[in-house]
Amino acid sequence: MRRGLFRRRRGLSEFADAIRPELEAVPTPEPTDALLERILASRAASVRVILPEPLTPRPRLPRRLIAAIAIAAGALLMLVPSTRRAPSTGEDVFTSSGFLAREAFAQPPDRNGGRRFAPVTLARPKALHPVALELSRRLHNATGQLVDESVDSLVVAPATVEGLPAWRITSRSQDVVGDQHRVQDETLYVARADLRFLARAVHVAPYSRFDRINVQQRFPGDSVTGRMTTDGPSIGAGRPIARRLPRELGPYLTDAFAPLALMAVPVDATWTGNAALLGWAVVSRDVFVPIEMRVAGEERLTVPAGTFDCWRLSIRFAGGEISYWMRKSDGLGVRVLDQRNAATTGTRETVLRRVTP
Amino acid sequence: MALPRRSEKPDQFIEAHVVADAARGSPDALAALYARYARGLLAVAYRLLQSREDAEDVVHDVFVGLPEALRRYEERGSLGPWLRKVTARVALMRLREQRARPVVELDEQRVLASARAPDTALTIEQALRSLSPNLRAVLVLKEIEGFTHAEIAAMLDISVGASEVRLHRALLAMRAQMLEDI
Repeated sequence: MRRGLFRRRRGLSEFADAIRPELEAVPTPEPTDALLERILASRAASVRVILPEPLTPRPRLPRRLIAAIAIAAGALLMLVPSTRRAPSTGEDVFTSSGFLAREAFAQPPDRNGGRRFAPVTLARPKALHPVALELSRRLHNATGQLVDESVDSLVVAPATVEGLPAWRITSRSQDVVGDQHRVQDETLYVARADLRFLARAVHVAPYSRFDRINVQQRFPGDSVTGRMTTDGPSIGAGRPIARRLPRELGPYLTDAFAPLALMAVPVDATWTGNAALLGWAVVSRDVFVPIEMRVAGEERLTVPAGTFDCWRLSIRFAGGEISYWMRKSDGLGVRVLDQRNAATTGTRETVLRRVTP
Repeated sequence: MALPRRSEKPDQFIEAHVVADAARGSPDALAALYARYARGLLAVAYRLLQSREDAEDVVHDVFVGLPEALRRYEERGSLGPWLRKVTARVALMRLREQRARPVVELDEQRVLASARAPDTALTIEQALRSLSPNLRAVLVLKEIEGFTHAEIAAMLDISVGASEVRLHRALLAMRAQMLEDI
């Protein structure tokens, strides 16, 4: 127990060391000539202030006395029923960015109501196959000017997880958030037999004040478990992840899986379905966001990867609606258009740039 | 781990006659001390009070009362640390007065925090601001200003153990705040 206490204290000490430079760098006001003039004017007006003396430190209590008090307090605590403070819900934060919509997690999730459609059924798991994709992500500001462009990649490759045949889906996306140029890497393992999630790792660098944030997830039963850690500075053991993923709200999609998921779904002109976008699940606000999909039309669409006959889907989040084009031939995502904030922050668009079997 | 004091130029740069003149109430000497020390003292007060106006009031009071206080000042060669202690005490007294007469103010930082862009992380300044004044005072005095727990205990009129506990709680709260933001 003592070792555990020592470890906790050491962890806190490391945290203090890590934040000290930032604490010292918090801006403070500069003294002004006006303040000096005010001081001199007060003196001239005979204003007087009696300043306190810096006090001499009091001697410490003897350790034995402290120990005796601690024992007495411990005994008292055993007699008083304990109360537990409710943990912070973190309702004002979200963490994940997304292939479908990075703002999705900023919206209040409507987890229970509003599910008009049946859950998406991944009825053709064998439709997923090894493939390498290049996706072009473009951000136009409210005036239509291109302000950021990056090339994302996504690779599906065979793998084995604890003896189970699986697909390893790796994606790399780049983004500009504030003044940070971020790279997000996701590796997702799904079972080949039914595309259920087996394991997931997300790394974002840099993230906020950290050089890198790491999210490791496993998917036992109907839950997601794992841990979030950081590098530069490290927050030590990080934060545990343990959230339930209700089966009835699935299937769950991630940034890496989103462009591929509908390859396993037979879609026609009247198709509809509900699913959920999985977040990092570190905070309660970022576990998942339900989405609602329906076919809104069909179009022949030209993107850098070629010209394809597509289904145009409307994808609804709690906070709005985006458009998604998928190839009729195999269900692969071809284009995503997010115009929800077109008049303010601008338009986000992701298009398929290259497909390598 | 003991923190090194923030570096300050040796006090011998403030010549003894400047201090003596200031003790006699010379405006020029007071202005010289203001030029030398006001930035650091304003920073101490601001970190404790989280308000520019309050911090300026504290520094105003310190310099207005300085000539009389200097007549009692005997810690030669350590004017800077002595002034920081005095300023911290004046700021803490103001903090206690504020708690005794609470006012409702528009917390601009809180408004900004709740309205911030989704991807904008909580700044350490906001995390510091969210601490209770008791916890913030110990964190500021120990981790930024480099005072010992014994000195902080004397300033706050609490035991050394209480100061240590408050620092522990402040760091836990800061860490929780900053991790919740991830």
